[in-house]
Amino acid sequence: MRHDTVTRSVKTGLVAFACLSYLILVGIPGRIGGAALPSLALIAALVFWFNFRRNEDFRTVPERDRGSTGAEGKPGWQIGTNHAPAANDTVPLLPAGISGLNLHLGLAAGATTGLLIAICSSVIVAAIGNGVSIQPVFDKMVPLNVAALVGVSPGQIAQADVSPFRYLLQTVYFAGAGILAALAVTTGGARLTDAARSDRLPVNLSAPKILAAGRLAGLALPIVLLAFIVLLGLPGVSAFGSNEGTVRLLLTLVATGSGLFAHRLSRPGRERRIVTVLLGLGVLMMPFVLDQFQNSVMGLVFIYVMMGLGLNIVVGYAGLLDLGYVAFFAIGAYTYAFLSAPFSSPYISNLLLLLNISPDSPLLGYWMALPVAMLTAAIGGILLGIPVLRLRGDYLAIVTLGFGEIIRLFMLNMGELTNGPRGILEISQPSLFGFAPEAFFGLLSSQGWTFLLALISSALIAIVAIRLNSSRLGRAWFAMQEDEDVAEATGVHLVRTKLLAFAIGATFAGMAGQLYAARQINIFPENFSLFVSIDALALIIVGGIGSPAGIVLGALALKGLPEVLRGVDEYRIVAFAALLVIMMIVRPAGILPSPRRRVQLTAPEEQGPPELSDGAEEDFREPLEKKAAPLNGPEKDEAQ
Amino acid sequence: MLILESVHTFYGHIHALKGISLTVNEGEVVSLIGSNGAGKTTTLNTISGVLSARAGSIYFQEPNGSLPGQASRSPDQGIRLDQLPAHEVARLGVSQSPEGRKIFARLSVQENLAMGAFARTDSTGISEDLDRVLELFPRLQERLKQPGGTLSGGEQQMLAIGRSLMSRPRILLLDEPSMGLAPLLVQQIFQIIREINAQGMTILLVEQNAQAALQVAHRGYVLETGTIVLSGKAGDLLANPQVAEAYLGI
Repeated sequence: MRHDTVTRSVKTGLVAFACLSYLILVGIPGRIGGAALPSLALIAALVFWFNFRRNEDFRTVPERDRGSTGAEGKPGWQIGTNHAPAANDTVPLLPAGISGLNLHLGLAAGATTGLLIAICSSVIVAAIGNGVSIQPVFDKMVPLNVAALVGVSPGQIAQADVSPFRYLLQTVYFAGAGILAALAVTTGGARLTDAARSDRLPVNLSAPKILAAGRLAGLALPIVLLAFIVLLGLPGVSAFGSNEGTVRLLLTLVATGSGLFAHRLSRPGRERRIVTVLLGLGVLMMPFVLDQFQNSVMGLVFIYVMMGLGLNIVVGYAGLLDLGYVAFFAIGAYTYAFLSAPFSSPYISNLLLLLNISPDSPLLGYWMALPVAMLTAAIGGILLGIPVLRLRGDYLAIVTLGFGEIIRLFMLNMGELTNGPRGILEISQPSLFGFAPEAFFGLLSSQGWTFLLALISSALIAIVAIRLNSSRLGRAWFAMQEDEDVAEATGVHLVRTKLLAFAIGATFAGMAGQLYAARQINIFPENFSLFVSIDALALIIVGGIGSPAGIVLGALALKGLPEVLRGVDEYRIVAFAALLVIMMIVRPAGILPSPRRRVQLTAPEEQGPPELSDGAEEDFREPLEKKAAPLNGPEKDEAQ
Repeated sequence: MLILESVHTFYGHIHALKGISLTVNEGEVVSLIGSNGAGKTTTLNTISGVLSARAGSIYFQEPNGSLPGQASRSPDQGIRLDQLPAHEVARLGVSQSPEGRKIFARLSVQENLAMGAFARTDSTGISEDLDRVLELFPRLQERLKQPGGTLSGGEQQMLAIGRSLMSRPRILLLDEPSMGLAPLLVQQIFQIIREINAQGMTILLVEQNAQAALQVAHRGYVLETGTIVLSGKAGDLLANPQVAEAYLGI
């Protein structure tokens, strides 16, 4: 218990620290590497936050269960007796161990660290402002890569002309925001019922007060940030002059992160709906705020999110391990390429000429081609599905892996049809009512447009996926995944259900592939190697199989982080590998597992009732006969 | 209602059922007893279509005559189950509660029960049946949102039976409902079987716990290495010295 308390207080401090360093580092932009530590901090904060929530879930439920399961096997347990929950069944408000003292300690630790960092950076800026040349010193003291990691690129520190007052204000502001964030995070895991009580807290710091403060902090954070930006401009820009892009990225991350906090902390109902709408609008603004490079990275990330969500249906819902998922991605991409690029095979050209259509103009625009690409991919999914229906597990994985390679080799070697390794060039761009998107919003770059499309498509796919999860078909998939025979015996048509999973998964991959083709403009068979499948699979495993939110986080971690870590150049793969290992130890079920998975992976240690049933099974043989005998006593006499 | 005529089932080359013939009449509890490997579960799996019979026929009488597919039937004997895939057998109203419970561990209790009614489309009927099942098993009511895998053994067995009942079956195939349960729970389960039968359900019960099974049943069959060696009224079987020696441990 004591150990637990210590762990909790350390975690609380860490969360506070993570939030603070994140927010304060916003003020120190470097190259893109400047995003590394803040991003890590954000991810750490999210992980801890969800960790609190999870512990809270599991701690309260089994406690309630234990009360009633304890009665099992006793004569009192009868059919027809309904166990009403005990009247004094209170739900602890804060996760165990976050007592008033720990909360104070955590907040204090966070605030102190934040202030220290803030003061240090103030001093540096002040020194620069006073004409002290720290540049050479800095270059000697700090290895390049480390500097990049904390957000300072030695070669890039500009001589700043910044008033100390503005920096002071900035420092105070970020320390304050850090405390708000820490408060929001610590209370974020607690249950938001005003009626709940907690006797762990000192009198003057009642739980509802903390909760209210945390909730308000969470809601206030994004608004305060926006106010800051409106009043003082992008933080850090004037301080260091250069690299506005990094600031833009960090800003969107902060806004999204705090928006998510706000969403969690808001009361269900009207308040939550408002926050959801604001959050959605905020996320949709991202393509407009980010610069071209960031948009291109995020566009790729969200194309992978689309794929991850589709693959999740096949792997996470239906339990069919598909290692050749790239095949459908490639089918979608090539279908769109055929329809929209000037190149077509001699066969198609001749056919088009016969029909009096110029082969140089695109056959179909992006939107007309979309259903075609989806349908083609779905047919591909069914074609793959039919031969592998009888296969399970490893065998299925190997066959699908082969299928993925077959498609790639087909594209590579059917030169007449696909232009082989020379690829298909000049694929046309998605338009908006027949115009280029730049005609509508001057703000939106071409990559931003791709990102926006990927974002919207991902949202649509996520909605479909979430609906499917709780639908009749979703239940059939989960049942089939657990036990095909029993599922079939309850009336599930296995063939149809499996093919539907393949087809729906493939459809989404086709969508993603089409957008990918448009993003790349030129596609080659080598774009569709095995590694695309591996990445798509890895991101759903890292993010948490079965959970759409987890998939977004997984895609950000797997496809976004390596780009962000470019700042640490040759070490980035190492850092990335280390992150993966740490994650697998800390959260084996993924960053944000779905409730269903969580049950599977945590059942042995976190649940009370199964132990009881195990006990019952152990002493099954002998006592059964003993007990059965007296039960049958009178009738035995009768029989003799 | 359910008639098996010299059914032969194989696992590859292994001849598991060597010509089983048995009958279950409407409203009866028929119990199938026998030692390990006698073919009890194989018989149930053959009826439900999870395994397919290589020879012989299984007939199931269907009152309202609505038939899926090309199932052949003889007028007086009903539908040939042995020619239908498992999911269609399930749709006809043959519901199996499998050995070892086999509940869907990651689905919630409610979803497990919904899976039982998978083949049905009458939503009012389903919610009625849900109420009925929850009345029969109040424990499940308390655990509706909990994943099936977190239930205790006894609760899982109740869930398995409840899931089978949710399909509003015409016949319930119960495979070793007492397996792995504490004695008091075994007693409860048999009490429930009696109750369900009293409500008019036809039940084919497979059990190792021969004594308890025969006490619930109207009639019984004794299986030995794939053939039926004895059959008769449950009371007679209980009194039979051979049965007593071999299965009742008296």
